[in-house]
Amino acid sequence: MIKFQNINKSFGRNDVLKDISLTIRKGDLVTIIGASGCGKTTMLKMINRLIKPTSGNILINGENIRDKDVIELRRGMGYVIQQTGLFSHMTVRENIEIIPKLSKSNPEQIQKHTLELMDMVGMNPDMYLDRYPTELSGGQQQRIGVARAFATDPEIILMDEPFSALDPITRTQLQDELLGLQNTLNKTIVFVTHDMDEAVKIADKICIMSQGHILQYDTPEQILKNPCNDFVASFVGKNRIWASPDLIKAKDIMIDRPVCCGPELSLRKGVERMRFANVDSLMVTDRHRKMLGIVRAKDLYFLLDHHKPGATIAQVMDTDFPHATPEDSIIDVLSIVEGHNVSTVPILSPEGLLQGLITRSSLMTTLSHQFLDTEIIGGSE
Amino acid sequence: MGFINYLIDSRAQIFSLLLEHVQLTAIAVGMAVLVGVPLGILICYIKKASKPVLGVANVIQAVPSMALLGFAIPILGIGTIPAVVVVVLYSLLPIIKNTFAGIQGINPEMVEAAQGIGMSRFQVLHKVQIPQALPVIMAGVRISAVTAVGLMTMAAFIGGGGLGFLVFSGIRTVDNYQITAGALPACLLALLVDFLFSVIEKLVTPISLQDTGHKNPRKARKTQKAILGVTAVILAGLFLWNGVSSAISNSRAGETITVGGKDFTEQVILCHMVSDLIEENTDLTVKRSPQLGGAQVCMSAIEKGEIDLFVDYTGTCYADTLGYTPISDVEEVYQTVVKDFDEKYDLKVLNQMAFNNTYTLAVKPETAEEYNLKTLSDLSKVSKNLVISPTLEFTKRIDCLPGLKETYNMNFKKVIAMDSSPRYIALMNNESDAVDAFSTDGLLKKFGLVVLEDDKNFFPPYYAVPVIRSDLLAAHPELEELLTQLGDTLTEDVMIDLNYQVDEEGKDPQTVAKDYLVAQGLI
Repeated sequence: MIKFQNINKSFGRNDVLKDISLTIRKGDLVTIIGASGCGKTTMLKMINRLIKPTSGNILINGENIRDKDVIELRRGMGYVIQQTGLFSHMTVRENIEIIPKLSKSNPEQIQKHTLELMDMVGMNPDMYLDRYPTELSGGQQQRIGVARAFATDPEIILMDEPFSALDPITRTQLQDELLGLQNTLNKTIVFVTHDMDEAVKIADKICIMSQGHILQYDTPEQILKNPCNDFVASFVGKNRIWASPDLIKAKDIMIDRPVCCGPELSLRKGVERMRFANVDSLMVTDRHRKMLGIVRAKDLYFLLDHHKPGATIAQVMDTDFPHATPEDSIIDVLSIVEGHNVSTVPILSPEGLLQGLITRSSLMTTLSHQFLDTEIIGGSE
Repeated sequence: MGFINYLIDSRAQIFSLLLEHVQLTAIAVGMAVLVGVPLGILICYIKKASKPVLGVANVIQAVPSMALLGFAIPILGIGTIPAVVVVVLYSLLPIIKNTFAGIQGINPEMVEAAQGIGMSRFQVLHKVQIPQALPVIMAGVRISAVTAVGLMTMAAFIGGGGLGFLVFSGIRTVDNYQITAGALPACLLALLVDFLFSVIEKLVTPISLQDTGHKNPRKARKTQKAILGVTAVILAGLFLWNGVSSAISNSRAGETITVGGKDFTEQVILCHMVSDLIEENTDLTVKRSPQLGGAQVCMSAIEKGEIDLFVDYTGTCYADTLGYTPISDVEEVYQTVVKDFDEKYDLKVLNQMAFNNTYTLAVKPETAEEYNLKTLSDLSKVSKNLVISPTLEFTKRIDCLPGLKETYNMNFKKVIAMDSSPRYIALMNNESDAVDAFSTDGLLKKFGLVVLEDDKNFFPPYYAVPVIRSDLLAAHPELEELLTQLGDTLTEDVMIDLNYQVDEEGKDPQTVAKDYLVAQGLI
């Protein structure tokens, strides 16, 4: 959709962007993040040609934007900045309708669309359309800013720190609403921010910049788990991931090689295997690692006394056990542990193959790392 | 009560001058806006031009308005055009400055947002930048407009009309009623303009940017619109009425000529007298342009064809305009002037009128008694103890103060040059001891001054002579006969009497002129 090709930009002797190449896919919400002066806003403004690259090309749907009419190009993109972006001498209605009117769209349609847009951003049209921006709160102003960006129904929306001047509660609200909008409308959104929480929360992909370079361009999950270098790691912040526990997956914290046995194993041998491996349960799998059941130590000791010594695991294993998938989050796993009052949760692939195991004690170890300054998550990969 | 009566008597004149004043000011401010706002916008885009443009506007503002008028006369002549141009030049600075500041003051992010959402340069300018800057621009226009009302009184100095006419002619004739009748409406007009522009200023300020003392800005806005609407209708009505009435008077007119006159009582009377005489005895329509500053203003006006005829004085023509050393021989002076004016300026000088309005010096009776003064020789003996307050012209002309120094060895303690009529006030207030005077000046009689005799025949002859454009005389040779007839009746005694009627008795110069013509059977 949007493609940066070897973009360079210098203001005088100051190189702001250095050989930037980046592809933004259609329908993605990409946040560009970095400290001030890293070139993130410059990148954004290049997309609507407010800033010209010193060299390199930007393609949108394969077309070089340099060959397009600049007015048309910009009208095909929504543009949201901080509150100052609204025209204070125009009413809310005039602000929203300015570009459609300049493009000479059908007046009736404009009016209808304006009402839809107000509805979309959750503002009462009767109450607010004829007010002036300064008569609105900061959050309301930004809603109008968003509504204006959608007024031409553009494919692409550019947002330059739109929420950064808002109080935290309003900001969270607007972020949630933006996500909601994005889920239904599926625009391609480029969103500049300096707030890592915001980036992680809303982005499909995050582009971390520093001193004119892209350090890492990846999903929030990957960036949190696998920062490509120390700078990114420190920028992301230690334990940042705990702010987004959704991103901690079962596969990240599971024991990869749980102690297993086949269904034909005798009870006595099973007990010996537990003692030897110092575990209190065994995963029963067939030879394709398909999960069949669980035997627990306390059950085995009890059964050894009442069964014939020749009995196999298959006869005593528990086949109705709670389990999780590798993509389930730590929260899902915790709720299984609590809900079923079990101490072991096997992690199975959708086909039922055993992938790993999470136990109460492994959960304890993982959680302790949040408070005890040690590295664990993703460390195994 | 006298003032009220004066107002009632001259209400038609005051009203038409007021209207003229409003019209001129409106035109000047309108043009200043048309020039100033685009210039202000231009220098926002071409930053390099901002310093020179603002610098030039600043310099223009710093030049005294009188001097600017002086510069304008040789280029633009006299009348309304140079007056309007000067006022436009004066009004530019606040407008340019405020336009520039207004647009510069807009948050750059807002402008970038406007570009970013896809407005063209022009759309950004007229949809965002100008509306945002409008309150500041209007504040500049408001300053300009109020200043322009006051400044426009200067227009009368070069025959531009307006309320300044009353002020100037009031100063000449030491008539406080007349000065007030000009100054008071000008002052009220300035206040009204200030009020109206303050309403406009509020109206163009976005509701959201107003610091609202008003509880309901939208309601206040309706009132503001109503005020402006009513004013606009009244103005349009007045101009329409004025336009129609002048169109009617123009349609009546045949060929039109303009008669000029300098800025003192005698010249005003002569201007009206000559005009009435021509109007009543020929098919010509006469436009009157009295109160045209000094001799130089009249000369450049007639050379440019702004006026066709005025009455000058032989001595002025000879020494001042032509630059000869003053001499006392009446006939030689006259003949030289006739010949040189024809050759140099293509102007015809007609027959000398019967009166000689030469220079003289006058003192108060107490002063004359104290020093036993009868002649200029007497005065010269005590001159080093005395202060003289002559006109500006008198201090400079070689046939005046510089010549007096040589011939009579006159050296005053102090020379305070001032405008013509205030010098009598200075004399009466004992701020000076002697003044120059014209020998036919009615004010001499009014203030009861003693005229000193020119015992060495120093002052050259100043016989009044009509000066007329050759082409006009060729087309209307009957004018020569007509003006000679008039000139023969105008002796010094007659002239003093006519001047006295205006200066002392406070009669209207136009009436005095007409009454005299009727009494003489000339019309």
